[in-house]
Amino acid sequence: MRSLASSSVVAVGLWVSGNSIDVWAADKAAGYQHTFEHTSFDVGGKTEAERRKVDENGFAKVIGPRGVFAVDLHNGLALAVPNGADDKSDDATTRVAAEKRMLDADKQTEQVLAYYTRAGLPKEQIAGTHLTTYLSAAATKQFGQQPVVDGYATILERAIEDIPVVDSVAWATLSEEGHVLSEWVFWPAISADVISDALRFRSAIASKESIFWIKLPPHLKNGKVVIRHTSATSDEKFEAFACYDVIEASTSSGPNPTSAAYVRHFDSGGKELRLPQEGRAASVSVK
Amino acid sequence: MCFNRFGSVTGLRVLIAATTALFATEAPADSTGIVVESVTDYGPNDQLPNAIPNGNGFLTGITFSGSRFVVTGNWQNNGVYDTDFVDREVDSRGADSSYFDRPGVAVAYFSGHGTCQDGCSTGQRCSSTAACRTPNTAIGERLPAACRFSPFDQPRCCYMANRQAVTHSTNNRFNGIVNYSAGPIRWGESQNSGAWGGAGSDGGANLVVLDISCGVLPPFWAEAFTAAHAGTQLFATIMVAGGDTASVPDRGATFAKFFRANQNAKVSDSWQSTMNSLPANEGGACPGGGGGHGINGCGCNIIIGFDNSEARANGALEESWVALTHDSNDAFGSNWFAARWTCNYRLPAGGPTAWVLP
Repeated sequence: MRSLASSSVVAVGLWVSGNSIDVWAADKAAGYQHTFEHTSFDVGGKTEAERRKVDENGFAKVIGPRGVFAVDLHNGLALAVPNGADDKSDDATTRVAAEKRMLDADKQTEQVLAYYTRAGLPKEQIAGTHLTTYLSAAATKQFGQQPVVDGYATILERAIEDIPVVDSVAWATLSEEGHVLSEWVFWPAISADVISDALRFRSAIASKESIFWIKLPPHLKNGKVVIRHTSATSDEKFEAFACYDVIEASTSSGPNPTSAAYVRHFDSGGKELRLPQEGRAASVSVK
Repeated sequence: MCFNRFGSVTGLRVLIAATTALFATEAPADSTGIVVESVTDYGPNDQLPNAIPNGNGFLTGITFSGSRFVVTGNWQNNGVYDTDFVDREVDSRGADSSYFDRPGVAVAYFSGHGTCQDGCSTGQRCSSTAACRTPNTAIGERLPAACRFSPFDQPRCCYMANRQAVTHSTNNRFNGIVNYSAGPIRWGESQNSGAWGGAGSDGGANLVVLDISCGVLPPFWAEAFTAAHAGTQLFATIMVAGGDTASVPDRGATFAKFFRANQNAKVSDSWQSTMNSLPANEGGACPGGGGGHGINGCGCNIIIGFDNSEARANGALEESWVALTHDSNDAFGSNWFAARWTCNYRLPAGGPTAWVLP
């Protein structure tokens, strides 16, 4: 078993079916905290005076003339956010051209992987990558304007022992020169108990005779075991747990049919769970 | 070191600070209100459990202590009437200037159902848009047309079909349908924008967010909002290429997080980057790779600006959250549009045809 200091995880488990005792042990999975010292995002400015370090709105921020690097003081979410412009002008020449995004998607992915792993994000927790695509179009009010691809974001997929850690998200967009234009990193540590629970759960439902399948509504059998945790935007106390995630999709009938698709979560006993972010409340106005 | 008439260097610094404040470079904020209308309960067997947490997430994420934004209203379920969205000048049953399009509103956010009539009911296969000339007018399809394809669909003729949000209230007067493509909807008509939209100047929403199914279908991103646009600076919604919008609890809170991190961030960037920041499993796969991120299938977070010039339409997409509060940025017309979007799957660089065979 490797030491915790190596930022890796090893799970050792014995599962004996029937009424036998299972013994499952796992190290915790290290998280990764992205910081201003790690980022290649340029907030702008050359002097300390041009770059302000301030705690503001729940973030520790480095604010410069080009943008902000911010770390959420509640949960460690780190993001690099470039500035926009001021008010509209009829003079298009006054607009400062934005830095162009890298258009070679594969090259960007290679560089983003190297960037984050070099900074310390545990490489063994990166199960894969995928892309989102940025596009734009502009025209007079007429049909037919073809969009142009402006670039990509490379998104890292987190998994521990092949179990997806769904709410951990890290992505970056790069400039043509290879430095970060914007990024978002939320990669908290996951406890050994949660990992053990997930491994046990996955093994348990590998059998079609598992009581879990009997309790689950029959149309929800194409999901998978994942690790969920409190989201990057939640103000609730951090929690993580293993659950079975599955998409519920339905369509209503009638002259204006609507459809719904959302993710449902179940524990190993078949009981439905709600994530902290799914219980958000706010004061309601009354008419 | 010099002494000024205040008798000290400190006094000089105070004078300089006061003078600077008097001639501050930032224009005063005109619109700082936040309106959220969210519907989870559409009746038995039709629930969107995440719609209200999603709306709440945007509201609480953007109106924190010290924020420049303030709560104007947060209506939910039966408290969301279709008349909240309808312009009284166009239809006297409407009341949008008291609710969704109230003067002083910076952001009006709806979280709930949309309808997904895709305009492709004829099923006609095509190899060019020119071949598509027969919309099914009986169900509301009309020109323009597009020979549209997606990772889910082979090329087939698709026509413009009205885009609609849906409410579910005992106080509805329009069957719960908010037809913003061709209905009595006019948003953003302010004292600043003027009455060019034919709806007076008693409105005000600077950014309208429709967090719904099929807010826009490609490539009709301009056509979807042209009728409703009466001065709004920006429209943000979900464009579905194949599949549907997923009902997620975090889209609104994530969008607000970018403002909270940097109030000078572009509003357009914030909406586009929201897609990247949502979990990949929140929604099903897009055939060929990608999917999720708040879409059940293949789709995009899209944001659109209209105005009377190319510079101003593009300027809308460059605006910061601070600039969003300035009513001087309200649109003076809709001759030009500019749109940006981020899609949850890979589209090749350099190719002009993302969804349509010309």
